[in-house]
Amino acid sequence: MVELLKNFRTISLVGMAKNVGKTTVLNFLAEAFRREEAENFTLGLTGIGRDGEKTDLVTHTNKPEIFVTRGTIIATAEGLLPLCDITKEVICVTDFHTPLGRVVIVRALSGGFVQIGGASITAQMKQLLRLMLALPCDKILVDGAISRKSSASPAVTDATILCTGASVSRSMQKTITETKHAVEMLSLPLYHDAPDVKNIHLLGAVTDSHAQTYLAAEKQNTCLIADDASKIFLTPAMVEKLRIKGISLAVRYPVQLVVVTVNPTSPYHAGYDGAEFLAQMREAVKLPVYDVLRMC
Amino acid sequence: MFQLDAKQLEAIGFSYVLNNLILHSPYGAEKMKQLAPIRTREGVFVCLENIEKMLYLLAQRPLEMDVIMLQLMQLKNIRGCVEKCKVYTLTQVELFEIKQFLLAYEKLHLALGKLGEALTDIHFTPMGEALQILDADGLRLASFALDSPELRKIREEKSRAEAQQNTAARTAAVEQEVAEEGRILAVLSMALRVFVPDFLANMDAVGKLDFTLAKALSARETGAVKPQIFREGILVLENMYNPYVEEKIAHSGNLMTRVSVVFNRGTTVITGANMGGKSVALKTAVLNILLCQLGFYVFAEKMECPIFDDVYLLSEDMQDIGRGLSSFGAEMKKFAEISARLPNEKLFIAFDEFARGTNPTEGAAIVKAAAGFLAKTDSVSVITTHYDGVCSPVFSHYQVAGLSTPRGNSLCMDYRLLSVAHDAPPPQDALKICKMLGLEDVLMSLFGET
Repeated sequence: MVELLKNFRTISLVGMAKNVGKTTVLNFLAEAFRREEAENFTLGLTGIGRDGEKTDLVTHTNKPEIFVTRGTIIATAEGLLPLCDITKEVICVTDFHTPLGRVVIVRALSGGFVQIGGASITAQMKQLLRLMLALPCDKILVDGAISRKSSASPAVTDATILCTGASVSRSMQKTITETKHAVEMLSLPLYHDAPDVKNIHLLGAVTDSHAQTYLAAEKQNTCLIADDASKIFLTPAMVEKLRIKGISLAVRYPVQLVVVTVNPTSPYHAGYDGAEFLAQMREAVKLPVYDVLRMC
Repeated sequence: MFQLDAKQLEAIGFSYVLNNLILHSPYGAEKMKQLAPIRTREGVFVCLENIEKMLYLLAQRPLEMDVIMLQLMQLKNIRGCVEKCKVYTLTQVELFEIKQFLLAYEKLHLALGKLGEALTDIHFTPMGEALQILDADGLRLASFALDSPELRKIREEKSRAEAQQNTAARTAAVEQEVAEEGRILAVLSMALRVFVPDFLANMDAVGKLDFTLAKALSARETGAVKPQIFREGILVLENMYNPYVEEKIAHSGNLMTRVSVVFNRGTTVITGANMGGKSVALKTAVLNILLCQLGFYVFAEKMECPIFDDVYLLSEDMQDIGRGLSSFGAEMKKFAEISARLPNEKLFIAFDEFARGTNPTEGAAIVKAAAGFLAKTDSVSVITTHYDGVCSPVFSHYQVAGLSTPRGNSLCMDYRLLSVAHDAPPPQDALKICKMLGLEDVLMSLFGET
């Protein structure tokens, strides 16, 4: 997996649900990059929304904490700094405001556990990444909150990892179907102008009821264009209807989805058979799939 | 601002002028928000002289001025941190912000020192001692970490525990670190506390510097000039112009006619054709008076202006009119307020088409009576009107030059204001203007018959 991500400078992780092992993947990658790369390699870390809590604030389940090594550069909300037990050197206070205060960039002068909460607006995240790369950070991991529930889009990063797992649903089949749909939406192509295609640019969220009007009114060779995948909230059934009608979907800012990770365990139920889950997921999505419990 | 409401400030172009100011720091922006009329001659003088010096520096020392602008832009607003420092302990992030401010301030102070030209009433004090507190090793690094011999010991312990993966020892070390960091934060905050007055004074000085710079840049951009301040009740405006109006008409490829006027103590009446630019001239005069008394350069080739206690503009832009009062009601309410102040104060009062909302017979009578009343005061009043027979020998009287045919047969409006005798015949241009606006012949003949 590390090999696949070698050429990307900014990598975001999005999760299909809570407890799908996103933080595990993040810790694994941080450690792997540090081992693979040169001596003076600097890793940057930031997030969309809040993550890294000891106990998940939403579901009260045990979560692995984000651990960073000395020298890592972290962009997080001012209010979360007291919860980071690294020794901190403040490098920059940005003008990006979050409910937990401004986004602050610090360097870890010691290893330690951190709480990450970065900019939550796409434009600000773009600027923040540019700022961090200029410090310089060699690679930046962006913790992307829960999939498509954030206003900042993974499209701002060079590569995206989708994390899914048993906590999405009790039914493995359902989890696979939903993941497959999410992969499809995250893989939507960049729109292009063609003479025989009618392009319709949509602003803001694209929902089923929104699509329904076009389903009724438009003919074949129509393309609905959203800003990016994070703005699309269509159900699989609606996507299917659109396809039958000959209406395609595209985005203005495509996401570079490179890897899917799966977690067969769940805090809510017994979990799935790991080998079978991995095999079926590999069958369903045409991307490299890794099991979070067997990454290394 | 003065007795003009937000809508009127917008209409005369004052908001436009403020919106176009280029401020380089949050402290300059603060000064703009606190903008208030200066009621003393000396106060206005100081502002104007500082703009003059600044313009000189911008022209003669452009490189040094660029450095100053650059350093001003580095300054963030740390007023909140400084206020907090008076009583409370600051966080590491807040101390970082103060350090950043001090680093930029040091460079700004240095650049100002190199100029060798001091601005009146704007004083900067060195803050090296305060910076020393946050930059003990003098490296002037832009980052900020907490440090002490004790902390170093604890941190060694922390990394040892980390290497040995000894969770209990690490937790203990982290707790010690947090406690020691808290102690140092308190020590640093306490040490900075004595400098709070210096911080506040310098932030104020930076604001004044930045705001003066913005006024100078605006003057350089628009060609505004330094007004002359005299005590006497006479207002002279030569070839005044209004950048707000100029920009609006520039889109249609037109130029604004520059107008000259002299308003003496007492009443001046401006008459003239519809669309003759009476309102624009009046509003431009008000704009320039406001700017002058706020310590700005003015939009004219020359301006002589006394210090007024207050400025009024009665116009159809008044906010009261939108709030249920008829335009006549709003005007009369304001007029009552003015007349109460007239015996004791020197005001500038501009009436744009006064009493336009009532019938012409009574309207004309009211305008004439008001003009006569105002003529006997120490204030300067200007009334534009298109009512006939308002003028009298005790008022000054201006008339819009009006329609002329300078090139061939095409009618052209001459917006200049000409000083005329009180009994000069009123212009009869309304029909010609209708024609100029392209009304159909059928309509024209209809109007002509009545």
